[in-house]
Amino acid sequence: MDISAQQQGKLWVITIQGRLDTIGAPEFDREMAQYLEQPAEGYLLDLSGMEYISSAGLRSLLVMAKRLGNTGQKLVLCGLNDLVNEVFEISGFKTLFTICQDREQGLAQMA
Amino acid sequence: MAPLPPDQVTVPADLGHLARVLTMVLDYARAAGLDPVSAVALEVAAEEVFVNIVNYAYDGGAGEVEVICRQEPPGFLEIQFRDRGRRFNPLQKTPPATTTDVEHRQVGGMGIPLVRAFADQVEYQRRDGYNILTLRKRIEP
Repeated sequence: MDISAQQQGKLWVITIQGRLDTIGAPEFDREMAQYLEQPAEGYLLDLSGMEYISSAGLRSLLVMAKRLGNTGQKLVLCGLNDLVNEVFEISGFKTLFTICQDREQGLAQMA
Repeated sequence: MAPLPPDQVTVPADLGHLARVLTMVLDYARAAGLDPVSAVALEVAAEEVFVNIVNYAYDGGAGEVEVICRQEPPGFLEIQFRDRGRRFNPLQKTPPATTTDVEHRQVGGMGIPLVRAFADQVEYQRRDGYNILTLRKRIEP
């Protein structure tokens, strides 16, 4: 899994590539913990390069969302592929998260 | 097309062997003719089952997991997981309530619901000291 981040004004845009699975989730948690310590109004996770997610990845995303919920920072996801979309639907994550088509829509949503 | 011959692997119940198992499942699912998204969905289901076995079957001790892929009964792809750990039926776990707010949503517990959703049939048996979990996915002709 590759994670890269870019600051856009008061937002962080974080790009996740590869697999958010049992093996990748701990690394995701560690990386995200670093970004969550930065001052920001919100986080846009661009998942268009994320091929695969399992329940371990769902757990990581939910833990991140809970943490941001406590601080009032925004979290928006974009770019879900067909599999990720299906996993989100089954898990009820579609209604739990704000999800946009792509990065542009996500940034507009957070503006 | 003639059915594929079975493929199987026996590995230690350890996350270090997850990739080996998932590669076999994905390759088999693709070769059996599942569409790309269904094949990866089956890989997700296999990850959930294998990780469950690693976490629960041997109570932290050493043990093995056998994974067998077959193209039977006719029209189905079957993936079977066998371990000699303590009796454990993951299908008895209650799925978490799907609330719409993050604060109250329970963390975890989504593995088995994904297995149920991504396989057409899921079955648990305890036989001869083995936990046997079988997933079957219909193959559209």
